Amino acid sequence: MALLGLLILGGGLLYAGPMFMGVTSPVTLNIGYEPVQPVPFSHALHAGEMKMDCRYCHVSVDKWAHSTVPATKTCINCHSPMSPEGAPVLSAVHSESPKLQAVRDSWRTGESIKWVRIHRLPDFVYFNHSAHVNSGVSCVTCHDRVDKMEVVYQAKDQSMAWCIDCHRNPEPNLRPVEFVTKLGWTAADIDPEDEELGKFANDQAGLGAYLKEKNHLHPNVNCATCHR
Amino acid sequence: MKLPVTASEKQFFRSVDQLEGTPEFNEFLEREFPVAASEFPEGVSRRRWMQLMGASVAFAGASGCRYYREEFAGFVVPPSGRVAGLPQSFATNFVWAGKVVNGLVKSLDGRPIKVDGNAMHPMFATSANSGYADGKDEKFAQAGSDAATQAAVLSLYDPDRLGWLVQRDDRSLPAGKMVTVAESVAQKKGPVNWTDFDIAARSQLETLGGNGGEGLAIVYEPAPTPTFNRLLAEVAAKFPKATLVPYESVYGRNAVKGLESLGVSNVTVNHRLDKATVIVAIDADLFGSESASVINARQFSINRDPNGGNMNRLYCIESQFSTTGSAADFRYALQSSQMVAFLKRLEAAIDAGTPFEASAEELNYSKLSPSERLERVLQVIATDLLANKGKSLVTVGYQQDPAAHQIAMRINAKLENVGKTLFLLDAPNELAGLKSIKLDEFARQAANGQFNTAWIFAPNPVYTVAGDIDLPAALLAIKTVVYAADYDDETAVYSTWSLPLTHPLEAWSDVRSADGTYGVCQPMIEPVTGARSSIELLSILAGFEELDPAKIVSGTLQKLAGGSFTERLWQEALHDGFLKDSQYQVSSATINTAAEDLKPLPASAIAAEGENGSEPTVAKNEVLFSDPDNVDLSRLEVVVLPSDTVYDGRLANNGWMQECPQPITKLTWDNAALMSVSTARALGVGQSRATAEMVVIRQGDAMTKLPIFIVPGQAEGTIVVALGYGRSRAGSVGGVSGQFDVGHSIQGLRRWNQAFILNGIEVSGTTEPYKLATTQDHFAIEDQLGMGEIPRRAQVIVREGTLASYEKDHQFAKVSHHGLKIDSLWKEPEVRENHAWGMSIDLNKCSGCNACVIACQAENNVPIVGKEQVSRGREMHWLRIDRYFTADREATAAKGDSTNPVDPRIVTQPMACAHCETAPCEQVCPVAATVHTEDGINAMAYNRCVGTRYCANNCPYKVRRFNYFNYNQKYGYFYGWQDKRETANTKLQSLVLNPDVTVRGRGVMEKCTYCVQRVQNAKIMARNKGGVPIADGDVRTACQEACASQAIVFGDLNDKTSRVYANHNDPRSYAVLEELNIKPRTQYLARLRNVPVRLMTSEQLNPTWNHSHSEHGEEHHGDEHGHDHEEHAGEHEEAHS
Repeated sequence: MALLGLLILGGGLLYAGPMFMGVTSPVTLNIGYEPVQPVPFSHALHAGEMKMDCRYCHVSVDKWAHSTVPATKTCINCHSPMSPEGAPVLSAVHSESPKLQAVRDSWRTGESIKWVRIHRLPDFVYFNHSAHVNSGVSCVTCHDRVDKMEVVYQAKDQSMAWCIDCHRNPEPNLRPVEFVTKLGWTAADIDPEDEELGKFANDQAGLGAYLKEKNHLHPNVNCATCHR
Repeated sequence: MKLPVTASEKQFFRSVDQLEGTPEFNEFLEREFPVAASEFPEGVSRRRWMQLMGASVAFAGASGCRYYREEFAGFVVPPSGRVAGLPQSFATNFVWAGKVVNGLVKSLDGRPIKVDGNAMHPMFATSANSGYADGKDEKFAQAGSDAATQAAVLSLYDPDRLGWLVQRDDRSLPAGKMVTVAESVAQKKGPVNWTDFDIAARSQLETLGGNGGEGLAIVYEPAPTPTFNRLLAEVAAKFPKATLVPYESVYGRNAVKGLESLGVSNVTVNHRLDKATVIVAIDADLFGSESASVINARQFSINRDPNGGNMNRLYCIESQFSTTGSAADFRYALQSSQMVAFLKRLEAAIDAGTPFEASAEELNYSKLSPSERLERVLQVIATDLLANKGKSLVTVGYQQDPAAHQIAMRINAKLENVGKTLFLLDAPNELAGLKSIKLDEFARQAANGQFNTAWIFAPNPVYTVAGDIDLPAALLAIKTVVYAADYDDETAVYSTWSLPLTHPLEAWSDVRSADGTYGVCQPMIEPVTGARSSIELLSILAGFEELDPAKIVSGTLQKLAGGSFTERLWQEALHDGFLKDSQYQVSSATINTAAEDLKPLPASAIAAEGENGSEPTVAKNEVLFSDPDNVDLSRLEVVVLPSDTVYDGRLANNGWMQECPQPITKLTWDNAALMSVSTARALGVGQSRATAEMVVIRQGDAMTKLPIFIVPGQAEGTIVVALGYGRSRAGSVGGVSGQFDVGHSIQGLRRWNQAFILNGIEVSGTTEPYKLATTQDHFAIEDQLGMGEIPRRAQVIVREGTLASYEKDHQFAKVSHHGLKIDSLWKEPEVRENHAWGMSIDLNKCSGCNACVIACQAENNVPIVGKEQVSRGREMHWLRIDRYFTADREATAAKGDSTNPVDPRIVTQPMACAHCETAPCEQVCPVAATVHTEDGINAMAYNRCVGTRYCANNCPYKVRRFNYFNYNQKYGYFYGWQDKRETANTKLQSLVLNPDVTVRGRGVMEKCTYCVQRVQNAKIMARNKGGVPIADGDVRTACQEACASQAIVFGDLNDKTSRVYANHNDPRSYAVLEELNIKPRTQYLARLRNVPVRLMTSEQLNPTWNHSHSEHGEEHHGDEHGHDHEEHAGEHEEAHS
């Protein structure tokens, strides 16, 4: 009888262990996901070194839910292939680089480039990029320093608990809307002479509280905010 | 407080079963889901169920990979102006199930997912809502549509559509499996393709061209489509010897014949219900099957606001019980074959011109005998019409005798209504002068071998044609039959070529609305089945050089606009959805009231003949009224009407329509022989809720067998049967003979010359039982405290008064408040939000047309569950329309037979989650899966729900739905996490899903969310625009948008200027079950019937609520109600304790 009791207890623990430690863990298992993309595009080069704005490629990030991957045409704007006569068309940066073969193929055939998705929320979560970007939440808050990544990977948790932490306490992650795509920006970059924000130089907490008040930001934590 | 009604007097009831208290109804009351509701479908039904669910149960193991790999396919060149995930709206116009749709299509990332009405279109814009003098009407400009239109997108993505070209050289071979898209995807391509057809067509046309089209027949469905008609005329010009065969399954030319008999031809009739104070509908289902139903509902509802002092009055004389009958102020049941006689009597009374006065001591309507009732009805209607010359309208249904139309039109002329409430418009006839033959003649000639080629542009004539025409034999006698087909259906198997035809959302075409406004039909998506439109096919037949359908349609516009045509005009017409100022001109034709009478059709004439074949009583102006005590079985008639859901069968494979509860019977997946209680008794046939007796209906040699269904209030001796069922090759939803059937076909009984009303009928019972799936007793609210509570509850759930009683006491709808002290056990939750979303539904405007039900289904990805599951009470509709009967209680009591109510009336009540402020469901959820949002929405977190169903048990409105099975499996969803959407045969259908709403898996609860996705998107949109406030009308729920009557208003109760706030403060506004202190955010405006005093029942003359008032005194009114309003409106004050 005692043995049976032990077995049941043991079995229970075997079940409960993974259930509580694994399945219900607030940390998702996706951190570090770093898939190989069809084009070895370097964010560190484009966004970091060359300081291209995120929105040059992710065009609808401030317009609606999706940030969208760039159309082939966006790449072609700079990396257009040689004309049949061998002369550059438009601006031809690295026209013949083998790394850009997939882009040229797509341009020639009209077939999409199949980018691999890195940050993925479940289907029952409705995240809207524009609601955050237009409220002064920077890309860096959820995607980390993409401008330093040679190959992009998921750096942040992106679990529900992690979302709610910020929805309950958004102040550390708020900045003036014009700096949302400046990934390296911090409150230290505020010009102390600035008429409106000068007093918040080096004071993220004060800046966050000020912006929250000024822009009427009341992030909700009810279920329907994200689950519809 | 003493309640005004005792348990023995049931004022409102749902079905005859409730009156009789049958075990089945009690079961539905006592258990929220009936017994065995969690059993898996068994036997044959299980197979059928699997078929409906998609049947691709692949229990693949959890994948071993750590990360889920998903690919993005970016654009190569992005389309300009499109933001991913943000819907775009495009205007278009098309003919759908016999009605012209002036639509606004919501297209998301390039695929159409919802069709609504186009509020800018002149048909809607000229009847904008009045009654709100605050100038906000612009914001509220909304159009409305009908259920079939809402379901159009599902047909577009139907995987059973004809997937490729089919050539059947030997039509004597077995037809085999239906050719569907799913198969064409699996097999990549068909044995023949368009190139093969083009080659075959060219050689065919060369032969025909050589002999002037000798032996060519073109069968087409007449429709107000200018380009199609223009091309048809071109074809006729090219092949002068060709034969045109117009054929419409639902014949609509009786009105034209009536007009022509009065010397008016080449006109179209446009009704303006908004201009009429008194409307008399004679067998006309104005808000249902009439072609202008949407605009009728819109125009009618404008004058249904008692506060604006503009309440119109609708009399409905009909044999069936229609939505119009339920919306009417006064309804009188009369057999369809008596309408000519009735109209003759009415005309005679109007000719006499003297209004009838009520004598001082006359009895009230409840106390009259059936014959006295008829006289009273005639007198009152004639008097009312005479008093409203130029402001009245007499309309007759399309199914009625041309003679009835003739008389009605004459009455309208005599009442000076022509040019005021009814317009005769000059409609150009593109086909004028072309000679054509009818389908019966075509069948005869074809059988004689007079044709060698036929092109068919009519949907499925082999199925829809009357039983006495052997169309298959006729088609088999034609060497080449080219059929433009939606499906590989009954007609396709008799055709040598079946060509996939575009859905209207894939095609270029054009349409003229009832007022003549020209509108282009523009494609929303490339043809998903590689189909061609009828315009493309006709231009091949016409031998055009130009085969681009867009250019052909713009050519029509060019002809119409003449010299003023510019590219800009064309673009404007596309953008707006109509060509400005293209309405037809008012005709100068006048009605010759002295013209000779039309001879009534056999049904109207023979049915009125005397016992011994003497003088027809029609001649003597004698109306044979419906007498429930003495049903004359020798005068039985069968009225065949297109189904309220599947029309003539062309929507049979549309699951949303099949499962849409028919407005009055609440039947799903079936048709039945509808008859009154007395008629069923006289015939000795019976029905007990879902189990009905099969009956055999005979007319001469023709017979058909189908189940009965009892509808209180239908005319005695009238049996109504819906068309469109019993399809033998509809598809995996609508029926395939030999595998499964959906309903019963009535075509065998129909006669070519008796399209709608059949007489000389014999009916015999078979004692054979048949299971029907009706939702009428499902989710009955009245169950809370047992049977004894029903009448009390029902009394307060739907509240109805007369206009007279309202004028006497504006607060009548508040009756249940008196004496009810509402205390809360808890501290009331604090209301602390910017918005307080609420809804108001005006029962005075609702006709129960089902548009909102299907709109909700389309918007919120609500699955269908199949007949088997519906009969277990598992339908998933978030929004249902409760239909309550009420009757003349005094007259019923006088007869002493409470199961055969006298003079039943209907109140319809759309019922969905009311978003209670103190929601009972939230209190009992063990995992907090249903919780309140800050703005007062009772939200459902599906991924948190564990399926205990406590919430549904605790919901007083019975609006929660449970996913017993994975109903969305066909879309590739499996328990919400395993994604199989790329599986080929589900890919097409899953395009219909709204990506803004979660697709639910098995084992979770769901319910109306107030379209929370629209609310959230509006908030985000407002922020993106720089924090502009959300204005009243910015958030519209799907049901609200679909409601042509504008009965549903949604908005912010914290905004004191909002419409919903105004409505909640209307004296007619009441909350259902408000005594539970759950503070529902959805309130209803009580139904008012504008009944003339002489037609009022005893109860309407002396409403019971007046008694309760006198008990409590009038002084309670002001403060008590005032307090309530403030509270409902979200004032931040402590609730009274």
